Amino acid sequence: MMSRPHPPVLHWLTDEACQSVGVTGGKSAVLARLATEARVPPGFAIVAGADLSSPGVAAQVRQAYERLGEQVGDDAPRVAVRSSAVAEDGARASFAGQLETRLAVRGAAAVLEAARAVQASSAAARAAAYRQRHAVQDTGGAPPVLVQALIAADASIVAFSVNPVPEAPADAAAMVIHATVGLGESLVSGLVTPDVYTVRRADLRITARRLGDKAVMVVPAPQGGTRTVSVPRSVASELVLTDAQVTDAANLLLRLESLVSQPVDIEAAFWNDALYLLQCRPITTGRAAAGTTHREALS
Amino acid sequence: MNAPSDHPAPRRWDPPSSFPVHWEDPADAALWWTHETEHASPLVLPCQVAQRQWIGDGMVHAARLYGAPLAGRRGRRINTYWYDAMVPMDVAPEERDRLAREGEALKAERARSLQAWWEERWRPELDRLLDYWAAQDPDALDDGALARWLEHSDAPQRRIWAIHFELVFCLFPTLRAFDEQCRELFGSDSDPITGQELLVGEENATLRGAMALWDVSRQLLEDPAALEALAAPTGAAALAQLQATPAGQRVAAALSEWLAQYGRRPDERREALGANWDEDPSVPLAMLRAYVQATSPHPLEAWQRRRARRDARTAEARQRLTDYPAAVRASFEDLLARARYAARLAEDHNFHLDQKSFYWYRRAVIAAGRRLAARGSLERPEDVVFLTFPAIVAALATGEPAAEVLRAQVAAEKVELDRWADVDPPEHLGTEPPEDAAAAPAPPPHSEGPWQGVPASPGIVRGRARVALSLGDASAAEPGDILVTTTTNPAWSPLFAVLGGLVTTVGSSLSHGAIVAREFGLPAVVAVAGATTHIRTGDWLELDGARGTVTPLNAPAAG
Repeated sequence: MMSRPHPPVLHWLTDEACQSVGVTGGKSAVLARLATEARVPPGFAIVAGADLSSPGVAAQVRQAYERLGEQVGDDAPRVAVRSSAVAEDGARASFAGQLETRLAVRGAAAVLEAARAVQASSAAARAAAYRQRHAVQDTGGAPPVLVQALIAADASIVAFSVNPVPEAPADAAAMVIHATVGLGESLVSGLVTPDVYTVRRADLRITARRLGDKAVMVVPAPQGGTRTVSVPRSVASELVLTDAQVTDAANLLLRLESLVSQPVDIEAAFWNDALYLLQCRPITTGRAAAGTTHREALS
Repeated sequence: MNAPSDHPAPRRWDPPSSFPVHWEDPADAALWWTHETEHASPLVLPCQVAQRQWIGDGMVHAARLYGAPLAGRRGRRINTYWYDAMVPMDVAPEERDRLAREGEALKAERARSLQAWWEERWRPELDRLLDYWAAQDPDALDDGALARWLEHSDAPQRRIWAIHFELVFCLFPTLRAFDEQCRELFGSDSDPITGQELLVGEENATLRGAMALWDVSRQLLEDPAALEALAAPTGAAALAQLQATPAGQRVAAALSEWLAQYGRRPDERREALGANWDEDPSVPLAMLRAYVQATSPHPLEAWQRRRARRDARTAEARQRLTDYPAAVRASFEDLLARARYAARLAEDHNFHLDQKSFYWYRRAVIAAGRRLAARGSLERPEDVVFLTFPAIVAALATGEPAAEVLRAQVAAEKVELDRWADVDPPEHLGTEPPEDAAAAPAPPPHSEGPWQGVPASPGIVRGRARVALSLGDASAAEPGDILVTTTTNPAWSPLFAVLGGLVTTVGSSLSHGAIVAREFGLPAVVAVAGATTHIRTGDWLELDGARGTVTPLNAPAAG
């Protein structure tokens, strides 16, 4: 509509410009790069440093949200609004919890508000990490934010292309898939003990299926946002993934691994039997020590 | 659960002095006997002993099939009341667990494919079994052949009751599972959707019977003379009076067609004492009297309202689950469909199994009674119910014992039944097993109200109480009355169309009466202990079927 002299404040995941970690953040950059190889929910990244209080910037975000609605065929699509600054993190468990994530956000105004909240929390978390470990460069400014159509997951998974905690020699040659019912937040935040599948790398044979205790699930709430509800016993008592779905996930892991030439861990979701990639990170030997960035891994 | 620290010991229950018990087999005293109230009429006639055994054996057959560690069962008629005792199986815990596991798996498999089991196996087998009686006119047999025919009806009766419990045991786990899933999914919502709401409005034989009888009632309305016949003191008199006019004859013909379809049931559940409806149509005539009242709604209208409400609530439930994981939505749809079929069978199995078993038994026994009365062994054909099934067979086959001995037996039985009629039989006799002895006794019910029971069918209603322990009493209920009874009874179902509410002293939200009450949109509370003694006919009550409360009112409420 208005011609703007400024550089763009957002990039679609399908844009090549979105693949720059320094501009759109690690999470967005990786997904943008993998979008041709994996099914990635449509969306856009708000670039680092974007001033969402500027009317011009806000207008662009609103426009993008409307365009996303056209893409998914919904006037007011529900979206997930997350920090894209995940690449800065060396130890997800301690870091991710501090990052604001807003799920099932509906309406342009709510999206803007959520993006601002994510910026604020992400900046605070990064400052804290910097103070603690001096491991992350504190560049100041607003971190990048990723806005994607929400996948109302039937099942969510966190999966590793190599077993991160091998207990026996054979384990190292296995992929591990944790799965639960509903949105993945219950998995990531440790609300549930997930079902666990082990897949032998050599032939993709499923060598173990362990039923977890999926007492609760996170589902989109009718008025926006999510709510945590109990899982009916009839569902909790069954494995959440079919063998075919486990194999789908294993194949995706192998494909991504070969793309980044490194073992990976992913967050993904099954919806209407299709597997959507929500996040992908390389597993590096020194990850726990922090400091390894996706920029290095992907360059 | 309060688990006592020391292992509880078995406890011997001494019967009250008003109910002396002599154990013919001393081993029986070590068993735990339960007075059967759900499946037995209060007093058990000698000819009903065979039925009680068929029912009990069918129940134990199915329980064992589905993994209950039972060696068997004994049944005793004690002081004219019926008691059953389960004989536990003496097995190692591992074996017991294996039986339970395998039995549960079998039951679950059948529950999953209930419709196929009913329509492709049980129902066709049932039709073949019922043919045993339907294909034979007992009056065409000589005494010896009649005796053999009667004797051999033991096998089909046993099988009917085996099927009955194989089926029924598959219903309630499904209904319970659905109820629980609705609590899990919607229980914490501001407007919870209950399983019961989504199961009402299944079509069933009771509804079809009510609609067909309504049509008969429309014919009655067209003819004042026929309408007048309804007021006749007995069913027989009413039928005779109908025959007096051409219009009345048409009504009588329609009624007898209806009876052939829906009247093959006895007057009371599981009992051969009450006449079959096609022998004595007092019950359908009472229903007709209610239907011809101007205030009486067409049974279909009420059903359609319930159905529309249920469909709206089902749509609401699906709406709430829109964004839920597919596995949850699939599980809900699967359980909903299976629970609806189970709900239908929970009502319809009475029509197909219980009522048919009783109907044909009554017919066969009365045919034997006619024969024995014709040769003077009995004073009246109906007296045959005071003889046991083996005694009836023997009397026909051998002519023994002599007429005066048989008549004396009948007379003695009548005295015996009179003697015990007003006694309150103890709920249990014998020796209580340790695990039961550990359970705390139920608190005594409050006598002045309000009373708390189990919510069975939602709705608030005010009305006059009609305390009824038999269908005869219940038939006197006027439109809008709240029926207060011990246990609800499928034979009474049609009467529900005119009631305002229902209170029972026993039962659960899944018992027959609760299910039928929901079908009729009739507010109901079950398991209100002591209701039949605390409440008197004519008392005004407010019944809240959603909260499970029954509150006495001082005066008729206006509006």
